[in-house]
Amino acid sequence: MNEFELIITYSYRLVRRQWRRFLLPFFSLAITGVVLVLILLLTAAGGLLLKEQARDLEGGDIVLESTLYPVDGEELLAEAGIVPDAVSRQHSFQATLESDGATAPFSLTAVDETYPLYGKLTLAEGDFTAIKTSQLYLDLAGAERLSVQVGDTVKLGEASLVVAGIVVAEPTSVFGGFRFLPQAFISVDSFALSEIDPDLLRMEYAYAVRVSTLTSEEKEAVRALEEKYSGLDVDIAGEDRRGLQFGLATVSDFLTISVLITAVLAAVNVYASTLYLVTVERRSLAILLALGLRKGRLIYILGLALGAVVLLASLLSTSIGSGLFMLLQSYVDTNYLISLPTPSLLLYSLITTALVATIALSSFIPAIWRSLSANPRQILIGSLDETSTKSRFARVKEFLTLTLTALLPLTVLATFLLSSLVYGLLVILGIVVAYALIATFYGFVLESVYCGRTRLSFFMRSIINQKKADGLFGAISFTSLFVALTALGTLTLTQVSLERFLRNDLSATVPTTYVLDVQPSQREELSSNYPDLTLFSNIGARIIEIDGVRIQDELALPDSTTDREFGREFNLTARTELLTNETITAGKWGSGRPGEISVDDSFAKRANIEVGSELIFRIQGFDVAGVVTSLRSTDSRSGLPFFYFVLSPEDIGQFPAVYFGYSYYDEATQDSLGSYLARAMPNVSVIETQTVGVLVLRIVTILLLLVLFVTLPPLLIATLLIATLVVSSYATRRREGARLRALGATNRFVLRQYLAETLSLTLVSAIIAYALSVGITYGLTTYYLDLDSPALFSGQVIVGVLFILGGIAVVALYLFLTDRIALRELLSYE
Amino acid sequence: MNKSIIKISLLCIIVIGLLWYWLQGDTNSDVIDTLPEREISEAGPTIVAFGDSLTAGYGLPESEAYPAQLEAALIASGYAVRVINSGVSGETTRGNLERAKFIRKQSPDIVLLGIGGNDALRLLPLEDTKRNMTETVRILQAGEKPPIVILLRMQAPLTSGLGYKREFDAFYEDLAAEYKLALVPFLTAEVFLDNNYKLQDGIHLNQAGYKKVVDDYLMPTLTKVLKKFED
Repeated sequence: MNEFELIITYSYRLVRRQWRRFLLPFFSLAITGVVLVLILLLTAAGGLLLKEQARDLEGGDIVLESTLYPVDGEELLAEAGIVPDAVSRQHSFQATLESDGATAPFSLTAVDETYPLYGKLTLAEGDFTAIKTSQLYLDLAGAERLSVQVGDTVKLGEASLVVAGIVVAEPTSVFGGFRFLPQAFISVDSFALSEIDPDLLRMEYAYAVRVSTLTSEEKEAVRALEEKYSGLDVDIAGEDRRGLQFGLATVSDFLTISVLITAVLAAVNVYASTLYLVTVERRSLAILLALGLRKGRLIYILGLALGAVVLLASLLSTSIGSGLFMLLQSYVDTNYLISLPTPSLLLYSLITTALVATIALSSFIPAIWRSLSANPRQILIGSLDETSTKSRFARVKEFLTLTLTALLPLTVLATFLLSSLVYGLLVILGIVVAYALIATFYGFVLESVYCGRTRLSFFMRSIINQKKADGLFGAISFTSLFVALTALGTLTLTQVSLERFLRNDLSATVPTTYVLDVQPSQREELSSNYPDLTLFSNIGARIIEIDGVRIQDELALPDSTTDREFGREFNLTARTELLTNETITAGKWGSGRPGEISVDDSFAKRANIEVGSELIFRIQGFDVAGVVTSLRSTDSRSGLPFFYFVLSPEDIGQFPAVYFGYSYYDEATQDSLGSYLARAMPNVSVIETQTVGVLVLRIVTILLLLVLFVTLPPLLIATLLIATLVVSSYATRRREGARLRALGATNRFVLRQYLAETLSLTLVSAIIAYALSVGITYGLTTYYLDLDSPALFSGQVIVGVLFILGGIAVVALYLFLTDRIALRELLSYE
Repeated sequence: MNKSIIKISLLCIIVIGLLWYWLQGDTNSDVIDTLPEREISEAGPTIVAFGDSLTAGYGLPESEAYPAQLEAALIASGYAVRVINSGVSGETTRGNLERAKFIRKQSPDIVLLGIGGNDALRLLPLEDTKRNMTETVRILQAGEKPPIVILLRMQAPLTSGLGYKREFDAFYEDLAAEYKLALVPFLTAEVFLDNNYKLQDGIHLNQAGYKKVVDDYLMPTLTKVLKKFED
């Protein structure tokens, strides 16, 4: 038998005869693989979907806009070194359309034949293709105002345009903000036919482009155009954290966090499984060593066996993971009408296999080498005590080497996900440092307890001795458990924060109806007919003085350095109660007494206004003075009214004000309000956000689904890791338990000791991990995801920890009670 | 030959005259001449600039809006006056009407009424606009010692439709004639079509735009009106 045949034969025999020992690593690796491939596919699909949404919302990968001049995008982009794949030119303006029976103002967009580059212009009559000359598409509100339908003719200036379709939704409607006027689309040629002089209009010129890839240098170059050319606005899809774009970007970041956490957990899980396999095979290896087999051959034999397990597990897991992804895709498509894009199944299966194999290999080699470096006799009699034979330095070195090799593939993954080697290295370095610190902390505590163990009971002494004897495996087990629990806590708290943000900030609080320009004499009548309308007084004023500094006088100086922004009109309101989207950040909310002023805290910061500052406003020619009694932070995403300054009703009640209102009316009430206002108060504008609301809700649903789907795999893998650790820990405890029983300990004593050891460590880990995860979540949500109110407590985490503790007890009890191997057999040589 | 030269010269004079008239707007100086002499208070006449964002000076510091520039220009010309900026951004003729009593109570000597632009932009019913402006003027002119009301002439954008524009623009003349108001051009083609006079929003005037309005349109009328106080 040559060497190759020998290695193959022994590997095969090893797996065939001791297949039960390979079961745990196999299933552990397989489930890890399933989870990993699933999360990678979901994240990739989610990323593609979010990118699509961002492009749809923006109207292109890059959009150059100006209200001052037509944008010569070709030249500008060439300057930035970008060659677009496709371009679309548009200009928007307000104008009047006339039909036979009516005239109405419209918000018009003149587009070219390539519009829209992304997203769909949905028509009531079917799919939109391209606008032809002398054609017009308009929304339902516009069609109703002009009393026209498809086929009718309307006039824009000198151009006669035929209504070719009714627009149900247009791609950028969510991002375009609220529109006062109905919308219509015409071709650029039709606009020319109208003979309207563009100089007479307030035009918004846009140049949208599609590019296949956009490097960070190219993005920088495009952004630099904004600085260089006055009046030019540059938008890059997915880059502007505003409104829903903010939500998309935040969820995208969350996906990255989830994959990284999952990858860390997967690495730890593969690591623990491999270590477990080497540990339980140690005695078999010792026998083969004692029989004269060379160490190198032994490594190949066990390595081949492990390789086979990894390969089988990877094949199975990537197939199941890909299948699950496709099922999920079809489920989401059927139930939520969202078509998740399909990323490359092969690529992500290969990444998963490579990741699992590399981690298994990097954890296998040092572990097997360590096992084989011991005397076979020592291993066989079970008196191997690594701690006594190695210096502390050697142990720390070994631990760090093991950790670093296992984290190498993670660094590659993190670099890939974060698109930056520096960030990838920093993230992994952070994980390594945390891991090492925890292991060192564990070692330090164990060493201290071990030194003082003589004062403790036999029960405790025995546990401490066993932990001490576990050596490196003990430290890794504890750290892995800790990492799993911290990951669980962090992910759950981040998920709760994100869900709260998506549900509350982006959709639920946004009113469905706004009314503007309600006059004092109209207020009472409007409120009695529509009592659910919440109205706020709104009055324009300029700041005249801040703490003795005459702002307007300063601005009038030729060399003034005062921010011109302070010179403009600001909207003031008067009320005595805080809104739900406001929080007092300094001082005390006033009680409505004259002279009290509350200021938005971000504005206060810019203008050096503090609690106690004295302000003078000029309202319609009259000066009103007051003292700042509070600073407020306002969550503008809620859609509720925002005012920089709130004064007492008595102070500004003497001036004629207009009123601004909002409500949460349904469609029927909105219609009734609209008709009533058009008839009785034509000056009052009503803005309905329901159409936008439906789209917002759809996108929020996508985001919530993604968050949910992506959170589940790491939670599953963390639970699996904990189960692996419990089973691994039991494998190493069997012999110690047998020894205790041989010395006269009862089964109950051994069980109690095992449960106490496992549960107490989990509990301590859970408490510290929760505290740490609160800190990590705060940092992540505040500084990375930019969320205002991170969730720092979640009942889900507590329930999860209790569930894990219960699960550990059940697994431990099951393992203990079903263990039928006789004492004699446990203590004998194999 | 001579006849032809004379004809061409006459035609040129007529064209130039018409152009001048169009660019200057149509200040009805006859109305000013017929105004009675006014009593003068010790502090000098008080002028209230009463209107929308074009009066308020949307997006600008107070000193760059037309009321402050007008006050400075009048003072520099030797008139001791006070010009109060009572502009409210976004105001329609309906809002203006609601504030008319508040303005009248201040007993100004002169009111510069500049309103209507937002009605035209929002294409509010023209009948409502007319009714509101008429009622506003009535309130301002009611009671004892009513102020001299100077109406600042606005124009509807072309995109509001030719019919609407024609009627809207003509109404200023009708109102001025009916209530004997001095009519002064404000938002003329000369100012509105030049981007150097406008903010980036393409609607509101900047400091230079207001200076042009003050120097070319308001000062000639105001100095004439203020003479009534001097005499």
